[in-house]
Amino acid sequence: MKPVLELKNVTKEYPGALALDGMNLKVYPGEVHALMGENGAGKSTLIKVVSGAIKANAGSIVFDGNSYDSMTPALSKKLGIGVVYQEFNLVPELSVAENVFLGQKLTKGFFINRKLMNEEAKKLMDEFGIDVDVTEEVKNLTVAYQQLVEIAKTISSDVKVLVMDEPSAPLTNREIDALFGIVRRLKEKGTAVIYISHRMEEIFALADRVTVMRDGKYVGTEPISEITQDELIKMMVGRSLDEQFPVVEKEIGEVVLEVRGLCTEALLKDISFKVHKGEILGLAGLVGAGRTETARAIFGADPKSAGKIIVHGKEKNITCPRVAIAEGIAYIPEDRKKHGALLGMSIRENISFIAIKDISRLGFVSRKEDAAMSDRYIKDLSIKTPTKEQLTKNLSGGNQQKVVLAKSLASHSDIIIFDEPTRGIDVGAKKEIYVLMNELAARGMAIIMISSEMPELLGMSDRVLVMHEGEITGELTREEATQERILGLASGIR
Amino acid sequence: MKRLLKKFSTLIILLALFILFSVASENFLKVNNILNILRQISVLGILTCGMTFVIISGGMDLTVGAYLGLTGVIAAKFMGDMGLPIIAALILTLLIITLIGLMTGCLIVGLDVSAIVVTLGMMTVVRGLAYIISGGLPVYDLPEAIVNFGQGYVLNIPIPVIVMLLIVAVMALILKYSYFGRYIYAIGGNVEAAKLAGVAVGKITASLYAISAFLAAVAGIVLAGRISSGAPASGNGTEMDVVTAVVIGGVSVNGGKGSMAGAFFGAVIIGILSNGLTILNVGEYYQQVVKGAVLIFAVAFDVLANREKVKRIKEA
Repeated sequence: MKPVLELKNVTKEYPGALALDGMNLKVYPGEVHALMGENGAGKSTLIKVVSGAIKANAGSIVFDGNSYDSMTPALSKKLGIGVVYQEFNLVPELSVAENVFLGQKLTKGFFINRKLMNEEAKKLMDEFGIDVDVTEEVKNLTVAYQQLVEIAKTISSDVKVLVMDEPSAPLTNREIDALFGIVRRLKEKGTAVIYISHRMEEIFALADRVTVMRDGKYVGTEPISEITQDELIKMMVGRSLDEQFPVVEKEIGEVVLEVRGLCTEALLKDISFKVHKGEILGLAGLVGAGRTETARAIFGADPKSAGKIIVHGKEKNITCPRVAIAEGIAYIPEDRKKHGALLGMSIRENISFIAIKDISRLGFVSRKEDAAMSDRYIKDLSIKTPTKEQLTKNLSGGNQQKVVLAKSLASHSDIIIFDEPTRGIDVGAKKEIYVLMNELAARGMAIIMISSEMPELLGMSDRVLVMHEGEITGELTREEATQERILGLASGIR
Repeated sequence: MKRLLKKFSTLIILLALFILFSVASENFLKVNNILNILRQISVLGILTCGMTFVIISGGMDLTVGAYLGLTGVIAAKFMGDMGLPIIAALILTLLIITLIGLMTGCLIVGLDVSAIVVTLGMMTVVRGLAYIISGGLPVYDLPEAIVNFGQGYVLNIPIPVIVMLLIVAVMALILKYSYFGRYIYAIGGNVEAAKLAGVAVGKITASLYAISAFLAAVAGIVLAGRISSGAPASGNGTEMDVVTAVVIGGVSVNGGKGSMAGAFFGAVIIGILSNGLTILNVGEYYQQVVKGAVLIFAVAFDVLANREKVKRIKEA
């Protein structure tokens, strides 16, 4: 069988960085081809070259036997290359059906045949087992369903090659099943699927073959049946990860933060817990259980309707993030790009952003201390960048996360709330984040870690609190915590 | 090369115009004419400073033109009819206009309504007030000191130019080197992240409109001095010139990007265009067409310099 899509020696150079370095890839019809690599390995660049969003400097793309030295978005669409990006391209105000057929004409006339459109959309949704009302406006759907609509939109036109960039990131387990169903259905139809994900379980459950890339280079392609998880990680990071979750010697001390009877208008009911010095407290639960809401209420980002926050034994009235920061509380948000990093500003400006008054005299920032501060954290957290003047938006996810963390560390926090600290971060960088968190705990900081990743919760937490629909349904020690018990509590089964 | 082009696009346009007019007219490049240009843009230049802060924060202030009118009227009333001492009258005028600006800012923050709408409304209100207080007619008999402030020279340099350059320098320093400046960029770039970083976004945003109003009041006094009266209609439509200057200067209307130097060069470009075209005997109506075209050209230049070229594909 001939490959439907082949990349030969594709190279893409940015000023000062080689994003793709002679990359090769062969994708056959009807296969699910996983593409793996750490963040910054060049996966996103590769997709953009295939979709025509950017142009490679060298190499060629062979599609169905025809060779092209570059793509354009129009050409790739015409050939039947569909891409599901991490960011949605949906119009929130339009219905599901309208979004699915956006830019396509179903009838010859001038007016939209809404009935036909809805029928066609329904047919498509049924075919792929997506349970959604096609007349609903997209803005009313959960993020997970928006993702499924995005996928449906891409496959509504005939695609021969479908690229999916971390399609499962916003999905919970049930919707992941739907996603798998879609992928398997496409595979039966002979569509080639290039599947990018950081989640190992998915790769092993879904893919036929896996191609690994590292630093923009092609590392190798293996059938999934002939490779183990450890071997795969080794290929990705170029070294073997002895232990994903490092154990550190640390002492758990006195209570640093206590939350008593915290409630919010919308969701939270009587949340009470304590965090100790040197402790990592895991906060588990399904999407919508109220974990982020708890963090934001503690941090003063959202209003509380009742409850007390006690920091170092004293009750504090935390009305806004500024007060929380002054009390030594830091919040590392889940959505790095929207809430965490100042993407249009440099690394230096980000790192010193919260602590900026400490290094200012008469309102003016000391340039020396500003530079010294960012140099120190770039080194401490090993942020990979050619210069501290690099714009944060040009960094990989893992490095962006480190910049966001540095921003909070620089402001002398001793209580850090991590919200999904490793979301969308590759294996190698994940471990770095874990090591950092452990170090911070060992230094005597109290850490609350909101996470949806089971291995992370089990591997990192000294204690796990489980939430369900705005309430705490259970507390488990490190010894008691198992996947089954956490999931049970998270589903509301006590 | 491309990066240089992008970074200095405003400066390149400025130089191009400079060379063009120098070649086209021998009167252009005389010291007196250059000072003349700077004097002509002094009001615009002062207003540009406040507007740059506001636009970088992701906002917009359409009230500045109306402030010019009201400032002249109330300052002249305080000094003439009410006979207040000049210093007291000036302080009172600056205070009143700044408070109106602060109120505008508080409305924007408090109601969470778009700045364009609120400042558009305030523009009409402020202009109306200027007409009511003045009875629709210019208020004359300004004290000698104010007239001198608008028309005088120090070391052969017009006083308004000195005032403008001082304000531009101070505002540039604040924007670039103070933490306040960095907060402004952050609010315009990512307001949510700024809030979570403990920035008092509401207070800072409101203060920017007060700063813009304060500078407009300073500009209004300069203008009143220059025309020797407080005219309620003065500054009509100036807000659009200010926005044009700021945008030509490379400040993004989406917020988060731009510099004081760029915006100032934008104002200079507008000044050079008016002056150069007038020297070349181009009529006022044609000048408007040229100014509009330069605005679009400047933005297009910026965008194109930043865009990757899409090479045509070859099918094998």
